[in-house]
Formats: sequence, C-alpha cells, structure tokens
Amino acid sequence: MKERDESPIVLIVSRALSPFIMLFGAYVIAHGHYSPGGGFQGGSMLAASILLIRLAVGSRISELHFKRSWGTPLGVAGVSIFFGVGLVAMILGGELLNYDYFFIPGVTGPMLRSLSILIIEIGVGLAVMGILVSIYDDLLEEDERREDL
Amino acid sequence: MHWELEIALLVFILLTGWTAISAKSLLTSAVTLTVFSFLMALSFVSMGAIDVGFTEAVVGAGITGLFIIIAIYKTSWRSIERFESRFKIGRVLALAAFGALLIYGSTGLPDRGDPNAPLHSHPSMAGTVNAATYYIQNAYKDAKTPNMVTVILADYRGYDTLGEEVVILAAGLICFLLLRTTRERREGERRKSDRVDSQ
Repeated sequence: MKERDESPIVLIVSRALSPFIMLFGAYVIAHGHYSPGGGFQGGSMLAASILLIRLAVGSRISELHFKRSWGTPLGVAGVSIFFGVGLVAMILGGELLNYDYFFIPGVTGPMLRSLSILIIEIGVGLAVMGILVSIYDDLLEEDERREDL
Repeated sequence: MHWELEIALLVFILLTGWTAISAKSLLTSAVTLTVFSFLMALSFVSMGAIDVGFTEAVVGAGITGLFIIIAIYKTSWRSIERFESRFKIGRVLALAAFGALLIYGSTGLPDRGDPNAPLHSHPSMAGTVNAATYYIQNAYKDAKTPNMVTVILADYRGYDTLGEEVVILAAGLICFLLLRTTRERREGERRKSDRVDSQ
C-alpha cells in the first residue's frame, strides 16, 4: 500500500492473532461434519489469517510465510483434489462424484461417504484460500513492484 | 419470540445501508458495508440459517471489505457524483413503485417455518418424494454426518459445489491473467529503457 506506517501495535496484534485465526480455519474445515462451516468458510479464514499478515507487514516480508507464487497453484491443486475424487469414483464404476464407489482401504458404506466429504472439504478449503490470496497479490502487485524499484 | 431483536437488527441494517450510500468518503462506505454484512449475518442466524450466516460473516464482513478497500486505495478516495443531484422525483417514484411491487410479491410467500407450506408438504404436490424431506430423513443414514448442510453441499449437490469451485478458480485465473499482462509490458518497457541507458 502507498505510504504505509510501520506501527508496532498493529504488527504485534496481527502477529499474535494470525496463528489463532489459521487454527480456527483448519478447525472449521475439519469439523464441518458436526458444526456449521466447511471448506468454503474455513478456506476464507485461512486466507484472512494470511492477508492479515500481508496487510500488517507488507508483501515483501510476509512472503517468508506464504510466497506470492503459491496462491494460484494451491487453487488449482484444491480444485484438482475435488475433481479427482469424483473422477476416481467414476473410473471405479460409479457416476461422477458418487462417493460409494470411491476407494479408501478398509472403509465401506456410509463412513466412506463421510471420509470422501472430508477430502472434498479440504480441497475446497485449499482452493478458496489459494485463490483469495492470489487475487490480493495480483491486485497489489504493481505497488509492490514500485516499492522494489 | 425474538421479534424485538429482529426489528432492532432491521433498523440497524437500514441505517448502515443508508450511511453506505450517502457517505462522502468511499472508505466510510466500505467500512459501513462490512458492518452491514455482519448485521445481515446476524439476521441470517436469527432465521436459523447458521451456515449461511457464517459464510456471510467470513466473506461479506471480512474478505469483501478488504478487497473493496484495496480497490479504493488503487483508485480514488471520494465519490465524484454530488449527493443532491440524485434526488429526482421521477427516480424516487420509480424506486417506490418497484419497492411496492416487491412487497406485494412477498405477501404471496408462505410464512417462515409454516409447516403447511407447499415447500414442506410430504409427498409434494406432484406426488413424488419431496427433496427436502428426503434429505432430512436420509442424510445421517447415507453419510453418518450430523450436519445435514454439509451432506447436501458436498454429496447430494456435489455438482453445484464443484461448479462453484471452478467459478472461483476462473475468477482467480482471470485476475492473474489480466494483471500479469501489465507486468510483462512494464518489464518490457524497463528492458527497453535499460538498453537506451546503456547506449
């Protein structure tokens, strides 16, 4: 951002809050079976924890914990996990996204569906997190380049 | 019931919406819009749609506000259009007529939580099994997952969620492609200027 002041209060508060937001995001993804939430909300919270650090210390320092070039590949990986589960189910004899035909060793019946939903939620979370961070980086890329010059 | 709470929420939603429209500084509008989103999330929760309220609180009050503020940083701080010039009698009448039409249409909807609404009838008016009834009866049996919304989103309506993900990915890729082009052009210009400097 233009003319950013380095405030120690903002820095310390965002550094203290960011890990907890990230942990809560992971909890929301993993606990989506039992409580409100799921991949989309949890992924947004993971992205928020990264963007908080981005806003507080600037993109150049915050690249130490999430690189600018990771966002888009992470989004593609998340969508690939989702689509891959559906495709494996289709190859193994069912329809696309019919989890009854997905293969996890030693798991059958309703638990197979439950675990497949968890895998898919993780994919959704990764995709949303990667894409949101990459949109932020793309929007501010020009300013950061100007800072580097 | 908690209708007093809902009326208070409605008043605050109207106030924040009006402030967001009428504020001179765009930053004030952006911050007020996040407050608006958060109050909308509270009203969704009071209607019992906790998952929708959660999404609205995280996305509407968090990420969207951040992106709007970045857009303001990169463009202009002030709204150019003068506020007084918007008060034309024709526009006010057209808006009032549209609002009256919407209110008239909403009187045809069933009451919230009405068990006799056609939406909740079992079997449905066409004589088939109602989708909502099927989900409520079979979600836990099919996937051993207590949160029915998760089963509907990820399993019964998996195609919709996959499409959503592809839409989000497309939005991210479009941002990437649009802004990447400008960066390459800038680097090309810089290389050209370097060559000019070295000559």
